[in-house]
Amino acid sequence: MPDTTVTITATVLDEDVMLSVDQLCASLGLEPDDLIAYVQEGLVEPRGTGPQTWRFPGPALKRLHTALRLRRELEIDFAGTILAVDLLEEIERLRARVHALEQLLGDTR
Amino acid sequence: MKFKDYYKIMGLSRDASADEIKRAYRKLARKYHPDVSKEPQAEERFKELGEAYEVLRDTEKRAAYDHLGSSWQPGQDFTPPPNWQGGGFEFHQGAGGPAADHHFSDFFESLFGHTFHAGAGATGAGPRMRGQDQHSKITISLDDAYRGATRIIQLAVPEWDATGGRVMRNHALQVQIPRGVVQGQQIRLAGQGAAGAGGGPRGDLYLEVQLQPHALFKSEGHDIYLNLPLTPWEAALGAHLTVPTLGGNVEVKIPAGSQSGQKLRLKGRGLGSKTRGDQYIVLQIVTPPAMTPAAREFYERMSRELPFNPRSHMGV
Repeated sequence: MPDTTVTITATVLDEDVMLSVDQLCASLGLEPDDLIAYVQEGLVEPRGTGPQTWRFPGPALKRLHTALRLRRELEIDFAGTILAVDLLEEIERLRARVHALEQLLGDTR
Repeated sequence: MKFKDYYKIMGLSRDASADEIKRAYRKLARKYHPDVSKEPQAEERFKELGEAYEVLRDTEKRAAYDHLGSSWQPGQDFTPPPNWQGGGFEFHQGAGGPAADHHFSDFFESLFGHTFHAGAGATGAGPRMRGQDQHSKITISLDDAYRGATRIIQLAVPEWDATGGRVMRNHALQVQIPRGVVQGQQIRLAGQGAAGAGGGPRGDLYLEVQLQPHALFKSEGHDIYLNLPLTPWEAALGAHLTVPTLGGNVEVKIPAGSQSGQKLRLKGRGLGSKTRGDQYIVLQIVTPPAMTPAAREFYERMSRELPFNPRSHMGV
């Protein structure tokens, strides 16, 4: 039987969590130059003045992860990838809004 | 194990050109990519597609696969021919190929060896390397998201076996999910990813939060929406009502003269940890049915004594 007695506490990757270039690169198997390219294209926006001091808010990890997966698995180019990530996030937001509105309209009918 | 017809999976004939294979892959990948697709079983289809493409895009692997002959049917019981050595080729995992992240089928592995068989340097005896991060999803209720929760999750995590190959091991983990997570957000479990090599540390595990639908509440980011039914007299006269929130019932003052569709905001009653979102109450006026003669009589009196045209702005 697997050992389930240890409880692991999860960290929520919200805006308060700050990730360095090294942390993001290690996590995503990404070269720093590629990360810098994504920053220059505006996919993710770090705080700080240069790569040494850059700190990325937690949600940057998900954006980068999605971008890398789309780029590799759909073989789309750099600019197309960033557009796709933006559109997917927008669709996710709209979908949540539609679900919320549907319930509000549907409840008493 | 079952035979897989990679041509059929990609909708191709056996004489498809390299260009056709690439085109078919791109078209189907866009259709079934789990980030993009809402098709049922998209994830499964996409995995199958990645495996088929991994074989058909590679001339050596494709030649070896073709060598099996065309008489096999999909799903037919399959064992590699006794003299099978990958058709005399030595296969390398195409590093960075479209499907590099995926774990392929037993059928694939029997033909082309361990998907996860790492190159020199990445095995248990090689230099120290941090294990890869793993990504997965976790579904929790809105109540658990609001309060935080402890959940046991089952995971398949890659480990090194004695020969330096990668094997998937099932693994149960008790996870403390902090309060305030929202739909689509990632949480990180440090040190719960793939095993490191050469004594290197394990990678991390990332879980993307999916919230289950709730009977009363809907979430939109950090905000919560609740539809609140109201009688016409509560709306007209104003009322103090008990209203459910994720944190328990609260008393809410409904202003006199309220209308259907109006929103009231309960500040800080939404999701979040340090700063919480808000709960919005959307008013829905519900009229009692005129089921009895007395009720009908009452409505008729209202129509006489409360002259009101809600359509005056339409000019009718």
